Amino acid sequence: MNKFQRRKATALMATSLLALTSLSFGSPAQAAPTEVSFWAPTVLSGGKDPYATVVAAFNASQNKYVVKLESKGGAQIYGQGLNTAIQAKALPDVFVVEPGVGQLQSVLPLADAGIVRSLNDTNAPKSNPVNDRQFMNKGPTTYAAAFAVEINAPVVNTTAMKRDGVVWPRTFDRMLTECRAAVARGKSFFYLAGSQFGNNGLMAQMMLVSSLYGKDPNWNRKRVAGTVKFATDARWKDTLGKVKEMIDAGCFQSGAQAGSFPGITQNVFPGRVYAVFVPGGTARDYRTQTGQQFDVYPMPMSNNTSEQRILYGVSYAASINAAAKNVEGAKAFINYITSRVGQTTFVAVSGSLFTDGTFNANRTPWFRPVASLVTTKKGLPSPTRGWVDPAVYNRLGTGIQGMLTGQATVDQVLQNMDSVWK
Amino acid sequence: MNSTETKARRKSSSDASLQGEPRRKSGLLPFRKKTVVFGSWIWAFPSLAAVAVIHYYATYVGGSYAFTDFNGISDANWVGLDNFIRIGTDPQTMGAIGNTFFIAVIYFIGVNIIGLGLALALNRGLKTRYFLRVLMFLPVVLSSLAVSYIFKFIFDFEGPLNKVLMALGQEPKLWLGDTDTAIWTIIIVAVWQNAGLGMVIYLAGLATVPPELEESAAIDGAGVFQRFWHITLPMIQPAVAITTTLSLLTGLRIFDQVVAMTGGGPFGATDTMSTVIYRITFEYSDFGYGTALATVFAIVLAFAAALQLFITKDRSGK
Repeated sequence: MNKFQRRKATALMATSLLALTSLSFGSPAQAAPTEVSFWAPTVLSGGKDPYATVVAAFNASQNKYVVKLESKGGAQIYGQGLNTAIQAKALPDVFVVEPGVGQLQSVLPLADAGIVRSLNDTNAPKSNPVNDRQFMNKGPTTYAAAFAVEINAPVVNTTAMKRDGVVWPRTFDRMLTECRAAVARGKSFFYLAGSQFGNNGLMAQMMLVSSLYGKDPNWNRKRVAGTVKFATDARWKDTLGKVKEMIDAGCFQSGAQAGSFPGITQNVFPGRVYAVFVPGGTARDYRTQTGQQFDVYPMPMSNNTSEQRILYGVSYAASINAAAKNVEGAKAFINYITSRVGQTTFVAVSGSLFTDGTFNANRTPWFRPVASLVTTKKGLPSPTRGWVDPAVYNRLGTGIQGMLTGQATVDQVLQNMDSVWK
Repeated sequence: MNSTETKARRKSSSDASLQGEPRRKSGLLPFRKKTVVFGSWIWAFPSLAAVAVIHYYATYVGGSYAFTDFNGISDANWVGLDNFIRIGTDPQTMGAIGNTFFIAVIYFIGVNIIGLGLALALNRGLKTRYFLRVLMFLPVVLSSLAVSYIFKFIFDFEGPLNKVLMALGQEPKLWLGDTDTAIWTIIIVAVWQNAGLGMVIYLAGLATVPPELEESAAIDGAGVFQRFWHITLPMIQPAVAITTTLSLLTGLRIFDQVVAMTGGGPFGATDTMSTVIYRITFEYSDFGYGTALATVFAIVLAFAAALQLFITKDRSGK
């Protein structure tokens, strides 16, 4: 055998050895995990994205599916992106939706259009909170799976309040007294981002849940049937009348009609105001950012404390695309996020609560002031979830701004809402 | 004519056609010119097709939603002229139309007067005029959203403008929250940012005015205003036509400043057609009504532009 032949034989043997070695590894052969596409709005809570956290946890918990998350901007941009994807028939397998109607990403219109799939073969029907099922179901069919439950009530700088010797009022009259006292101190009791109809609307919802929907949970159905109207309903007039009383008592900061979202933290952090109208989970972020005690308190709307209610419901849920490429993977992801393990991962970042209503005041101490309302089932979902036309909520929010400027009366605001109701 | 002259004439004529000149009155176009004309259309066709499909056809398809109740998700059902009829009965829309024209007129006057004034001041004479021209033009190149957010901070109730007022012993004002002042803050920001563009166009026009003409008019006893009115202004007529048309269309389409500074408030006091169309289409998902509004608005803009061009067209008979 010459030198060339020896080299050829050596190369052949080495190649054969390598081939045999590679065959011996990884047997039996394993299939690669299949991809599940997932879209969610961009949300940061304490600097972390709860959707990204729960996706990472799901991917780490099993090796059959890998969820690929795409964060699609804030809530409004997300809705528009979703709408565009619907037109282009380019929806992902799973995407975040809102319960009810009235928004671009609301689930019930998507269910009507056949864009989302039934979730009856997942854990979602049992996992979803009872009061929210009307906004996530069409008849017996469930179309969305809740990630968690939010409490929406005034977030209060308790440190600043205690420093000034103020106790959170439990009745409406007491609140007006505290408002006037705050003005005398050179402060305001509330900061209202009056230029943003959403903040005005959120405040109104925090009031309406006690003054109207707590007493008549079926009011929206009556409005759809046409048996009641905003302009002629005594409770609507009373609620907006109370907003007027708060304006006259100086409950809001000077120039509230021009108030903005950046102004919220600029005023509540240093204690220039005591309370702001933001989602309850924000209290956890404020605690982290300032080192001060921030808590969630109920909005006092009556002099009868037994009528007190809070906004308690699902803000965001997940749905499966009716034309999903990976249905089994999507269902597995839905089952994970509705499980105790998945929800623990999500709420640890978002500061929200479990969908089954269990409440641990030690884990979420900022919710202690409203704990009794949660455990005694005095929480109701957002009433505007049942308003078909988003223009109605816009007219409510801008109408309150009109009341702040003195341009609009209570009757005008309510008539305006009726004029756009569909 | 003898045969030699005839041959010479034919030769000169064919020489001329070889050099690309048309043959003289022979009744037939030269073969080369027909080919050149036909070839031009071939080269232009792809661009024309792209404009037709991307611009005009897309506009036609989008505009057809104005006759439907399309909500972005479900099927579009034909509703005829219902959306157009609704425009006349919607108080929000009527208010926005009024605001739009008010902003457009004041913006039009502001940009043209300030732009022309700056151009006249910086045309000649001043040694630092080149530096000042750059300074005046800088706001034009900035993002209008970024500028609007900065001015929102300035006009904020707790912003620096009110702090200056309070330092001078004045009461702070609700610049953005008062229905009387909010619309003026929008106009001030828009004019501030775009007066420089008017200045640049007027400067280009003023460059065509021979200084000797003005000098001789001055020697003949014409005053400053007379020289401006009878010499300068007629000679910069094209610049006037361009700037007035552009400023009118820009004023009618103002959007960024409203969205960033007031969101259309307080209570609709600064809502314009652009913001209302955006809100109805993308926030309310009422694509049908929003498209109807956009269609009507587009017609108004086209009419305004045509009217403006007609008013400012050159009537000197040249």
